[in-house]
Amino acid sequence: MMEKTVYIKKSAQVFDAIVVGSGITGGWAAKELTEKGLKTLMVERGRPVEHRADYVGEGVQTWKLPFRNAMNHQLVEDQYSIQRQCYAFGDTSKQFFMNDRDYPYSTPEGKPFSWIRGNQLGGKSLLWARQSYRLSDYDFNANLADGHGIDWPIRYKDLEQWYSYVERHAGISGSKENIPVLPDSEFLPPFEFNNVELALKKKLEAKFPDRKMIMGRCAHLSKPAPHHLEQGRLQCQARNECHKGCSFGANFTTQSSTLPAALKTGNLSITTDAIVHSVIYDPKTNRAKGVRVIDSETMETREYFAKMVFLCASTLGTTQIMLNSTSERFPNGIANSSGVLGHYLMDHLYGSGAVGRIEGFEDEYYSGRRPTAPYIPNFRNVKEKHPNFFRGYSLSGSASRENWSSFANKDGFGADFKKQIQNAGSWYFSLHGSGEMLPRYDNHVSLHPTLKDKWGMPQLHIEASFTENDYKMNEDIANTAAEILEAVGAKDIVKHVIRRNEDRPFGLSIHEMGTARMGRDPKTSVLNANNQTHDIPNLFVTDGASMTSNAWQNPSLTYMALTARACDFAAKQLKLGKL
Amino acid sequence: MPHNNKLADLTGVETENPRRTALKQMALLCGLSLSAQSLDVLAATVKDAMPHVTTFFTPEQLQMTGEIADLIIPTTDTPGALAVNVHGFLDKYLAECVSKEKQQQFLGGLKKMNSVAEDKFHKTFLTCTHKQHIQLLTAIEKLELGFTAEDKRFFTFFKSLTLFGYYTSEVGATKELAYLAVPGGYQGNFPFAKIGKAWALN
Repeated sequence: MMEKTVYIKKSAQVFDAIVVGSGITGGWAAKELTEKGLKTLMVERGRPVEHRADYVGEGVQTWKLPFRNAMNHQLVEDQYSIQRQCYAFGDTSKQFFMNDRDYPYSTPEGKPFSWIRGNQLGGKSLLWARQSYRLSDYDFNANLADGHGIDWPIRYKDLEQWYSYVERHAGISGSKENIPVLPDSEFLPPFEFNNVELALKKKLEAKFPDRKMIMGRCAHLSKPAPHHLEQGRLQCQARNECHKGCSFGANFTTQSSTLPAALKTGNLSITTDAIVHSVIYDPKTNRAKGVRVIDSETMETREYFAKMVFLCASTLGTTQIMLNSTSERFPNGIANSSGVLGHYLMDHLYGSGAVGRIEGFEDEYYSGRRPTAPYIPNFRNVKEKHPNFFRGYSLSGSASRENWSSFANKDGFGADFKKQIQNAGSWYFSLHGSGEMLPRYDNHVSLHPTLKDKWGMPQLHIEASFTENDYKMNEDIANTAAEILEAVGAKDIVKHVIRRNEDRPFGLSIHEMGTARMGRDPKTSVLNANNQTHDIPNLFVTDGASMTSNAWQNPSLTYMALTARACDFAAKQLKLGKL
Repeated sequence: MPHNNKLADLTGVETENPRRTALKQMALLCGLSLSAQSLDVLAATVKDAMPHVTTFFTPEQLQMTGEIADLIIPTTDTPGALAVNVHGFLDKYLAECVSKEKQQQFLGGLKKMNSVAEDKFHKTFLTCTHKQHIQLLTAIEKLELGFTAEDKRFFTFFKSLTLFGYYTSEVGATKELAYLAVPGGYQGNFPFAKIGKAWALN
């Protein structure tokens, strides 16, 4: 249980560090800084969420919900028109999504952007899909190699030990594979393939020597280590309802993993319902002095002070705060002497792929709802250049039997129909891509010149669209997925290709990143190799905004490693009196 | 259409269309007082089949929805859609959870069902025999008897709601299918025979 004294409102204390945000990176920053002995204040815009006690949707049987996890149509239209697009949104999880009515943003005609947001202690760590992959030097070299974007200021060797460090604490399930484009993590045992997937894996790997099907790596305690049990975390029960909250603490969230560690130090204070308006800048010392917040309930303004500030408020949340932190020295946003703040917004290319029916295997089934799926790491533009596009993609998807919901689209009714549903349907295998996007200056966010939210914060204007490279990659993802399905003997193959902005809005992959990128040159980047702003020594950004390229892997594990590494650097610098 | 409807067996009124018998009984329930014993019998078989007050449907639409839902998922060795009150759930669900367009699509579909029943059998849908009901549902899927592609889309929508209402109900999830709230882990090598029926949650 969290001690109530941890929560503060007004305070004149000068903290060692302020961490803005409490999601995956905010939680890690709080853990690392407090464990190094720094008095740290975590600032969260949303309400508190207590581990277990506040998981109100967890384990509720569908028939006990008023509309079986559906919601009032008008309420959703009025308050969750964007959030509802997220696969995890429903009556049992809506409390972990931001209310769209209260947090408006604008987009140009024809360029929809879906900004999926958490608004509570724990942020989107309570909602994330938990897929966890390391980047490799193929990724850290990618911009330099093909000339799109600027060079990453770090390489795999800089991050390797930090990946290991965060993985041991978080608990990552997976298998050692020795694949050059996807370095192995520190693993807990992988989840099992089912027998159909094993048969397909065998065929796939025999036909395509460059493609390997592995089990998706995820932040789940498949077999908790003693230190996980000590944290009060238990084995994953394969319910796959993580977004309702997990009282087993079996998946990595702020509540299950980093927050208990930070609280244990006695060095953490938390303020919730505190919307950061801006970073307070001291021109005399060229330092960030703290943050100015608006109390979301009272509308009152407060200030908090610290020796350094970590922005971990999510890619666009952090960027909005920085753009709104103006001064004579930084008229266009704090630490924005380069002018690139808000630019180079990226997301992953999702939604293209193929599905096919697998004949036979009627005697086979599975038990449990696996929280991950088979995964084919990238094989494009690795050894030879693809003629149509730059960068690569992964494919993922599982083999499963149709359940009752598939039968609405089949003809039939009556006792035989009911029996067919009870007998489970055919096996289907799906493969969908997660594609890399090139960093482009034109994809950017800015503060709207006039529109404000109800707390008086300037709204974000988001302008982002896909390009030829994206569409050509989408085409290849679908064709390749279909080619693989055909090679393993699937029937009735159906391809999906995302061909327009409207087909699947930018942002909906919920991997937005790049708007305060790391780089070697202060003229073309916001952050240096340590996630420290080039302009202001005691201001750090460690969330997705810092990404120089977006690779094809799910990014959260990399954010964790970057955060832990930056905290180590910052704490040492503070000790040396350099901040 | 095999059936095993306790209510029909008990009342013995009509074996051809057990659903209609149930509906008649429920209609009686709304207006007439029955003995406590009869109420117990009914409650045990077709619990809460007809709510006294509807939210979205007229009483006739509610009965029609119950009838069609039960034609899709009838009582077999487990209760069917009518017995688990899928129509009562849809009465609330359609009132609250779908757009006005979807509401109109649903009501329009019921109306079309009735008008085809009138054209073909000179009766309302509810007064058709069980055999005629089956003819009508078969025709809507095959686009016969004047049913159009739009009508079939209505029926697909109807069916999806029926399956949703039924298989997320306690009986549908735990009696008809296999329900495992806390699986304890994932097993990929698991013969179907070991459980013998589909999981309620995939």
